[in-house]
Amino acid sequence: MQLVDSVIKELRKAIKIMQICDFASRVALLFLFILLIFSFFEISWLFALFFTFFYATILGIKIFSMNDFRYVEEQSPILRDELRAVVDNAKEDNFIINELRIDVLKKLNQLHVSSLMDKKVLGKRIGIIGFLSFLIILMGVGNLHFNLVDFVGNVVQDNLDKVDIEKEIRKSGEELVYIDEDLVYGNLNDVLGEGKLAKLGDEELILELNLVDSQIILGQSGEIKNREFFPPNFPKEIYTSYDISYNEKVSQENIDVVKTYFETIMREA
Amino acid sequence: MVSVSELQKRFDVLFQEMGKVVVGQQEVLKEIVIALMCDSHALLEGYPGLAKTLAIKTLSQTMDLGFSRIQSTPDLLPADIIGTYIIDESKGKKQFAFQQGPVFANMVLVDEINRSTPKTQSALLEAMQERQVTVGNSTFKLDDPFFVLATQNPIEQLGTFKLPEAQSDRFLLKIKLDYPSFEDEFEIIERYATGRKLVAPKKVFTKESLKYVQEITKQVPMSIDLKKYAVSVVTATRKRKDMIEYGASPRASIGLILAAKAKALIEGHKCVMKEDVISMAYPILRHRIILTFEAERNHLNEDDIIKELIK
Repeated sequence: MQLVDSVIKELRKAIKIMQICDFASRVALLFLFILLIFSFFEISWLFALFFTFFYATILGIKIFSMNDFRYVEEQSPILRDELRAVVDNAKEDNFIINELRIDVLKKLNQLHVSSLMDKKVLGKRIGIIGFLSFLIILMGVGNLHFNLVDFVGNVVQDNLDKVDIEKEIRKSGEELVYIDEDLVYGNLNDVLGEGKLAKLGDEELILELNLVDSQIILGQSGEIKNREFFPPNFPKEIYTSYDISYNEKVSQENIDVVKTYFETIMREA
Repeated sequence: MVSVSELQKRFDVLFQEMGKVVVGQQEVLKEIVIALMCDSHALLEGYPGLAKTLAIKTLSQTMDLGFSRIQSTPDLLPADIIGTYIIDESKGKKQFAFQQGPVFANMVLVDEINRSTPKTQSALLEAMQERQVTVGNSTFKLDDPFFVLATQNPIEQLGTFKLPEAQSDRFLLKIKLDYPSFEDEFEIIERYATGRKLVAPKKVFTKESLKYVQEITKQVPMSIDLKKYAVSVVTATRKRKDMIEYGASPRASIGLILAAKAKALIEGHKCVMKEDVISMAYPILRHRIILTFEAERNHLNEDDIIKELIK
């Protein structure tokens, strides 16, 4: 009986070591994989640590709460149900349990502890861990990344800006008219300036001024002011008023052109 | 003290002796013996002519035990089973003396139990659970071991009385008999339709040896995981409200563990295996669960549900 106890103690130790190896390799694998992805998208490594910790908790409960000897029985079917019966009935003493102990000892004698470990799986895991580590180092050295946060943030901000602008227009009491922006910007570059420039955002703009040709007096230039660019708010109809003196100067033909200008270009579009 | 292999040999001899009379039905014979090893009772259900009664009679012949038979009929009275007081004049004066009924035996065959009235069926309740009989103010202990092996058939329900739940719960196992295979049926006609002389089975177990087997059955080791599995199967019957209206009682858990131990011993295992628990779950649970209308409407029977539960 003492022999069985000592064998079981040794076996328990071996199983614990194998379980720790299994646990550590799985956790390391997941951590490196998440770290690789998070590093690429420039997300803090603390998040990777958080997810790994969450996974490790669940996996730890699963692995370490499992009956140690069930693990051995799964790997060695000849011990099916017998090993656990011996361990759980360690204090019992009758001829059946004694016979069972002898049987289990014989079967354990044939069992190699190394066979309990799935060397192929463990080898694959170690290989993948090495490969992932290499990729992470390579990414760090080559500074390969994609700023996912900024990208998503910009997309969201653009959409929010659009909504704000529409709100502003509605507040002003004007009727909101949807006009093909490309068409409008294309035609109004002379009036509003180059549309593309307004969209520079954080990009650097290099302006070269020819002092001879320029009308800007450098001494009179003030501080840079932020200016918001709203798309033009065109009313649905344009009413013109006139007085006699103005009427004398503008021909009827030109008045009609101005009056129907937007309707005409919309129709053409 | 014997060894597990010697015990298994003894069981092999027992089944060989029973096989001299009963053809096939090996699982049924094993399950009846399991009920005996667990010191409990068994209910055999099968169509007429499947050797239910023969199996029990043959088993009684292989055991050196007191045997009696009760043929249930609707007019059978409790006193016909447990006994009654009669006027005894043998000692020169008239006095009441208790005349023991057929229940006072080690092995009682109650044939077609569902043909007797619930009142008569209930007369067996105390005997089956308490191993005693109370008549008037007197209580009489029954001999040990005591087994009730009852039979019933699932057809011809006219004029029968379904066993009350409390009664059927006292049977450890409900053993179902199926039709024999072609080979077995051929062997049956060779034995019983050709005038061949039948060999009477030898006695294999005495009262003492049977009690010893009952004792060591309880000692068969079983892992905690398997005990938990057995209990989880029983408790699952109370959770599947969609298919089971009433689940099995804790008596079923005790029965399942004990029956699995007995099964392991018969099979020559030195501890209980998972397949022992699974195979015994059917006869232990099938009479302890009541199906819902929905399950019956889907043509499911108790065994289908148990199969689902042990997955």
